[in-house]
Amino acid sequence: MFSTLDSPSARFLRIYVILEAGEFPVLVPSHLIELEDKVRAVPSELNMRALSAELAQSRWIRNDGESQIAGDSASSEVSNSASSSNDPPLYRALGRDEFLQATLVDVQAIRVELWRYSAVPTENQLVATRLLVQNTPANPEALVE
Amino acid sequence: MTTNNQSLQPIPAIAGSKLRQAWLKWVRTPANRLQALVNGWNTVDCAIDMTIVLLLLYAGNFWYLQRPIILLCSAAIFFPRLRRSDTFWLIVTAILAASHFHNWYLVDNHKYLLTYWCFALYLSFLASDQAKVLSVAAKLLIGFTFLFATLQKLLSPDFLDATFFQYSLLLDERFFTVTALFGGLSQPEFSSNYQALEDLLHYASSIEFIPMQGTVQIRQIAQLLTGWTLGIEALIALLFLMPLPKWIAKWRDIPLLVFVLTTYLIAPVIGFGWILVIMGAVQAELGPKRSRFFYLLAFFILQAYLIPWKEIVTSLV
Repeated sequence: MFSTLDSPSARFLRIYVILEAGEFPVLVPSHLIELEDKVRAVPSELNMRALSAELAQSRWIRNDGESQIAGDSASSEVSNSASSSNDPPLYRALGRDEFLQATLVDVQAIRVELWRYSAVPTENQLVATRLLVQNTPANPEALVE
Repeated sequence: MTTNNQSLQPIPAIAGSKLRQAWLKWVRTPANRLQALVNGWNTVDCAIDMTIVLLLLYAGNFWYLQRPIILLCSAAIFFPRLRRSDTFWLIVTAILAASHFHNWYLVDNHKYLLTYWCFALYLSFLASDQAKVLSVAAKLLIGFTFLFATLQKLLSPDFLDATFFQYSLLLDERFFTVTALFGGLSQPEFSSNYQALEDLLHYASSIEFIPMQGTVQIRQIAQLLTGWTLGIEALIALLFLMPLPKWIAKWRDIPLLVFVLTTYLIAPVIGFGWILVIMGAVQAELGPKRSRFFYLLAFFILQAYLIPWKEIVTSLV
C-alpha cells in the first residue's frame, strides 16, 4: 500500500556508451528491459553488473540513418519508456533478431548509472541522487568498477 | 376555530405518513430482500463465487497466468463441483504463485495477498468446519495486511512527514481530482509538474533537481491524508487482530468499509479493493452477518468507480 516515494518508479537509469569521440546517452534495448526492471526493483551492485555486462556485449550502431539496418520489427527495438521527447538517441543496441548491413560502432565502454529521485518538501523540489555506477569495458571479460 | 383546526390538522399528517410509508416500502422491500438473500448466502459459496469473479478480472496480465486462470474459472462457473474441489484451488494457487515467482520484481503486493487467499481457500477444504476456517483466515489476512501496512508507514520518514502524499498529489494523475478541487492546483500547473518529472527521467537528461508547483492547501491535504490513512489502517489492524469484547468487535466492518470506499475512490486499484471486500464478506461469518450485505454493495460500488463519470457528465452538458 502507499507508504513511500522510494519505489521502483522513483529509480531510473542513465546509460552512456563511451566512444573515442566522447560519451553519449542511450536507451536500454527492449530485450534488456526485464533486467532494467530488476535493477530498479532491487538496486544492487550485482544487478547493475549484470545489466552493464549485457549492454557491453551488445552490438551498437548509429541511430540516425548513417548506418542502414535491415531486419524484422526489432529494428525499432528501443525503449522509449523513459523518454518524453521525440529525439532518439544517437546510438542504439541491435536487437537480438536484427541482422546487420552496416558497420558497428566501436564502443570502448558502457557506463550505467542508477539514480533515484526524492523530495525536498520544504523547498517544493524533487532531487535526483546517483545511487550506483557501473563501468564495463566493451570487452566483457574484464569488469571495471 | 379550535375544533376546525383540530379537524384539519390530521389530514396532511395522514397524507404525509402514507407517503412516507410508501416511500419506505419502496426503498426497504428490495433492500430487505437483498439483505435476506445475502444473509442466506453460505459463507463458502460467498468466498468461492466472489473470488472466481475476482480471478477472472484481476488475476494478472501475463498470458501464462491469465489464460489458464480464465480457462479454469470459466470451467468452474459451468461445473459447480469443480469450484468446490480442493484440487481446483490448489492448481489456481500454484499458477498464481509460479507466475509471481517469475515476475517478483513487477508484481503488485495485492497479487501476493490474492495468492494467500486462494491458498486459504484450498486449506479450508481440508478442515472439518470449512466456513469457520475460511472466516478466521480472512480475518487474519485482513488484520496482518493492515498491520504491515501501518508498520511500513511508521518506518517511512517520507510518509510520516506527509511528503509522500504531497508529491502524490502533485504528480500522480489519480490524485488530480483531489488536487484540483481542494488543493487549488490548475491543470496547466499539474501538467507542468508532470512534464518536469518527465524531463528528469529522460534518457539524455543531466538534470539533478526539478522545482514543483504546489500550494499551501496541498500540503495541508497531504497532512490530513497522512493522518487519516495511518489512523484508519492502524484501527483496522487493531480491530481484526486484537481479541476484543464482542460489543467492540462487531463494529470492525465499518472502518474497513470506509477505508475501501474512500481509498479506492481516489486510487482505483479495484483488484485490491475487491480482495479486501471478499475477505470482509467472508469474515462476517464471525460477527454480525448483516455486514456481508454492505460488503457485497461495496463490491459493486468499486466497479462503478471505474465508470468515466466526468466524461459522461461533460458530454451531456
